[in-house]
Amino acid sequence: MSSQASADNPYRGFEDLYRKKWTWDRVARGTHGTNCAGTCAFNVYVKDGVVWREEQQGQYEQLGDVPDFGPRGCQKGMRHHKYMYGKQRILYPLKRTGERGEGKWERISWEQATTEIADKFLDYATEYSPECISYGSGTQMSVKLASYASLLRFGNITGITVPEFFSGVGDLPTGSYMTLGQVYTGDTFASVYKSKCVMIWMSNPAATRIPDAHFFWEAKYNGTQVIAVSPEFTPTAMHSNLWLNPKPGTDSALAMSMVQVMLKEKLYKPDYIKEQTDLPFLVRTDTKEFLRREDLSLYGLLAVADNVYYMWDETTKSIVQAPGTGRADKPFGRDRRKYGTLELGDIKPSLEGRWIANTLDGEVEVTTVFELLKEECENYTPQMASEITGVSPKVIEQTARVFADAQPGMIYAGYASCKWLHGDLLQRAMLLMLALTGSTGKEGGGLQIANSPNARGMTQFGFSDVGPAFRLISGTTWDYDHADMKELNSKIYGNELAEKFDRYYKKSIEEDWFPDYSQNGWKMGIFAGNNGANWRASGSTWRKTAFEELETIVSLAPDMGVTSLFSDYVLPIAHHYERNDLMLQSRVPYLQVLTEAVSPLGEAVDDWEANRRLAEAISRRAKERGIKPIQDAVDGRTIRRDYTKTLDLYTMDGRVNDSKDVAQFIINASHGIPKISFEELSQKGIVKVEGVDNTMWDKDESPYHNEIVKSVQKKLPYETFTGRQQFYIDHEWFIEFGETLPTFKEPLEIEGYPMRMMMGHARHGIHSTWRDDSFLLSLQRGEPDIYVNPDDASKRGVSDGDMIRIYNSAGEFSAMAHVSSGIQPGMLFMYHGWDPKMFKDGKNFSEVIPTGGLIKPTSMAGDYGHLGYQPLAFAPNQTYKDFTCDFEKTA
Amino acid sequence: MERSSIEGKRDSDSTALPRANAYSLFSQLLSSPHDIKSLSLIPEISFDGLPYDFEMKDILGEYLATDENQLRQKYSVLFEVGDEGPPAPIREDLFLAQPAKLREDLVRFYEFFGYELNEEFQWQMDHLSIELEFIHFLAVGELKADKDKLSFQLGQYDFTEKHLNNWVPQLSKKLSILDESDIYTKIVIELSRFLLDDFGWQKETISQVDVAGG
Repeated sequence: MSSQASADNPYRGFEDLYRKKWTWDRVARGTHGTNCAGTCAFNVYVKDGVVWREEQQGQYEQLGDVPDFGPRGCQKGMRHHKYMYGKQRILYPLKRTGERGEGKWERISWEQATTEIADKFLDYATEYSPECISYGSGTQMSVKLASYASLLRFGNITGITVPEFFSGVGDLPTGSYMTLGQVYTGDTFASVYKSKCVMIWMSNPAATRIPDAHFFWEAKYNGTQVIAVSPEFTPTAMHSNLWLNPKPGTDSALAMSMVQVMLKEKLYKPDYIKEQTDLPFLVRTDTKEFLRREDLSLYGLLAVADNVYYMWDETTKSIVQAPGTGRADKPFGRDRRKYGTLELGDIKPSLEGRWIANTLDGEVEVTTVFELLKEECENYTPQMASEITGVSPKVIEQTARVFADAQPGMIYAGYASCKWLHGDLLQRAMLLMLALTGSTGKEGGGLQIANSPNARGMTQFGFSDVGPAFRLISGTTWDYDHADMKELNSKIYGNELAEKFDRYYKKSIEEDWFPDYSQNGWKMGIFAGNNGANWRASGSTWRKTAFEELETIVSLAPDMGVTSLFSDYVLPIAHHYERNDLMLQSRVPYLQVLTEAVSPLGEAVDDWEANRRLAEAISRRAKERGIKPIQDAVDGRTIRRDYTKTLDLYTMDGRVNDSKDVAQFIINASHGIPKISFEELSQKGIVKVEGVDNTMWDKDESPYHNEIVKSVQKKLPYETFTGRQQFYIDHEWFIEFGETLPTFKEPLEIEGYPMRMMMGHARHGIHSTWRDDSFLLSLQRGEPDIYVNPDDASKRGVSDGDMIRIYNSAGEFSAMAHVSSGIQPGMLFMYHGWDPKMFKDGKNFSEVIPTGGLIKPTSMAGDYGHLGYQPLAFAPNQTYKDFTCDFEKTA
Repeated sequence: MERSSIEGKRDSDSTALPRANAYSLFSQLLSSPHDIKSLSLIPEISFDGLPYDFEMKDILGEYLATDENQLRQKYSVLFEVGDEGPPAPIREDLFLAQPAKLREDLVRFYEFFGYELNEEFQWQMDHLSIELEFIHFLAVGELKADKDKLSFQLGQYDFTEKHLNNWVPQLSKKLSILDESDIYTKIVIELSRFLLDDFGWQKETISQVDVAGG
């Protein structure tokens, strides 16, 4: 660069600086690798090694006769060029010099940091087991395919335990899994436009799905009935045709009441439910168990797990085997699809009736699941449900009729439905509504919670040359074991509940239904891609116990949060415009690239490189210390781990050098992604994925799960024990807890505390990212606030803007009262993600959330077809909602 | 707009070099000791000819006597790391809570006068050591320019007024509150005094700046 100042062009004032047009060195493609499910394509403007602004790329290919996906983006993404240079950035490797959480640091070199971490890593792995080292990832990492693949590979090579966060943050749709044998039931966002009636339930897309919320309103203007269901008046409710506001936690009663109306008024689709569901299956009225082959013949007794089910055939007036059921050699759900069909042929199953079956026990009365469902629904007439939910009986009836009349109907459910202790029952009830109306598996219909890429390249990269050899466990059970959650249950909910839940928990482990990786304690915690000490239910208890147990804590993070604050070592990680990676989000049918628009700030590196440096240090120190290979037992297999080879394995003997290489590996090895070079993708920014010519995921060529659609369209059995959409579960625990069918159970409360506190995702942050941005704070109240009903506020002498203390027997925190008539009496509402460091005394909402140990017994059931631990499919959710509290004005 | 120096009032040949040296000294002292490793030449820098009092002997002595690791630790704790961000950010943009256009203004200054940063430091163009180095660069430009010394003089004046004066006094106050005895506090306090003297001197030796300087 040469000076522009010269005799001919002298500098005489600052105005001269601005005469030259501002130009860009380049415009890079990128997005924000957070789990907002947006994957919005952005142009990133770079000059002199600095990102100055970003704009929406907006060049999305059309997807048939639906509104466009682009341009996409929101205020958070548009602000990132400032945030990435903000004061919260971690720019250098740090070592703690004071007490944990005190905030005293020493800047050290990467070499010093990784060497010291590697030495501790090797000490724990060799003295105890790699099991005692956890590597908890979060959504910031997992949504970026190359980053997550890097973690999988590192974990697989080293043998560490990875507590997964899908259940760990209470996002796992276990009710969906129980019913469909599948948690991935979502389609593209444009499917909303194809729905005739969409119920937005426990979700607030107007605030949390900003780039896609338009599909709801476009659908509304196109004639779709948009019905919002939420206790508080949300920005989404504001735009909907109808708003239902059940009391918090009573949603299952509302759903069951609509089911009752549909059954009573015969608004259901008999052909659909006879073929697709277990509603026509026969159940013994004496044992409440399905009639199975073992009831009818000695041969059945020999089956490993009997999965032959029966129907009453109206044509032959006899009990007949249900098509698609029965495969004694391999009875479990996973491979059932290959073997049968749901087609009924000449069978005409009865939905209603009672018959006598000649069993090995003698004559036994049998009836259908449908009949039992009708009996259950007698508890949920609109009048009865109204008393539970507060929703008018007439509104319940009308809504049920509108939904049943819609073809198809859709339930767009937020992850909040997974965060209640009995959220599984709600999802089962939702799926029941959808099944009765024949909506599941239809374009514009079904339960829309989640889908996930079948990105085989990611797992192939993780396992290549090594095989699957790491420990993947539910974050919920990991926390239960390592953070004294039984004790917390006892303190808050009483000994009886604590002992009962613990008994079932232990039974499940003893029976080997769920793995146990707690035998070697917890020595070292590595946290990447998340602010795990913030989002955990009972975060304050977790920090006190888990962080006390851990000997070494390492954070890999771009921004300082409470997790980093409590760490012994903090390693700086590149932000969104400083890395190369890929993103796939099922609601958006495009592959999105992240490119390194500028070099990582300070000494930050991307996740691949951070793990590579750790791997290098582990190899180097293992060689220098002469550490011999260990024999590591994982899930019954013995694996030889030679830590001197960690780096060679991690880089595939030097064939993989950076995250671009990882991304290319994933592109090449994954189906459904166009075969394109990473360089070309970096030029384009986005490319449409394969197998998408309508708004749903129904093609094998697509990169997403389509099992449910195939069951409906191609009559393939579901991956459930019954091979059907399974609404009746006769596992002994489900019978014992009265949950064989969807039903309503009161949410837990803490005696003496009347207010139910609800939380939801925020408009101005994605979890804790951007929550502390000054500009975004200026669009809110500038500090954490909590919504309060005017009557509740008035009773306590609280005015809008007052500081209030929210408390219960677990703890307390303070926040500004935001008095709003949009909040029901008896409830508080707070948008989540505020880091503890933003609150007085470093205490945030997690102080009063004591639910971290509430592990529902039935969510750990096993030895029952599809039930039993399935990573990222069937595991107990961490719950967040089942508690109450109170508040008062602070002095 | 016309701005001009008063002929004979500023003797660039005798003042530019010691002034450039003074800015260079402060720039080096306030660089991160993690990034800039060798400060051994500091004692040899000459400030002869400075048109105002300048005494750094004691501070330099204390600085040079301080263990390198200790310097790194002190620097990081004050300027680079902290759970709420660094206690006293040493970047203007960060110190002033990221006001609009500040960084663009810096880049326009640098670009106009041809001051180029290594890729490693481009993202922190608002770092105090870089802003000081820029004045050093302009002072050297003033010394070397045959025809248009005024551009470099006015550049120094405007940059000091719009940037250094805009935050260094506040940084100095903040550091005094945080740790009065810290070597870096002492350096920044001295820098603040120096800027006051130098800016006053600049003002005296350039005409019409109050009228047209914006």
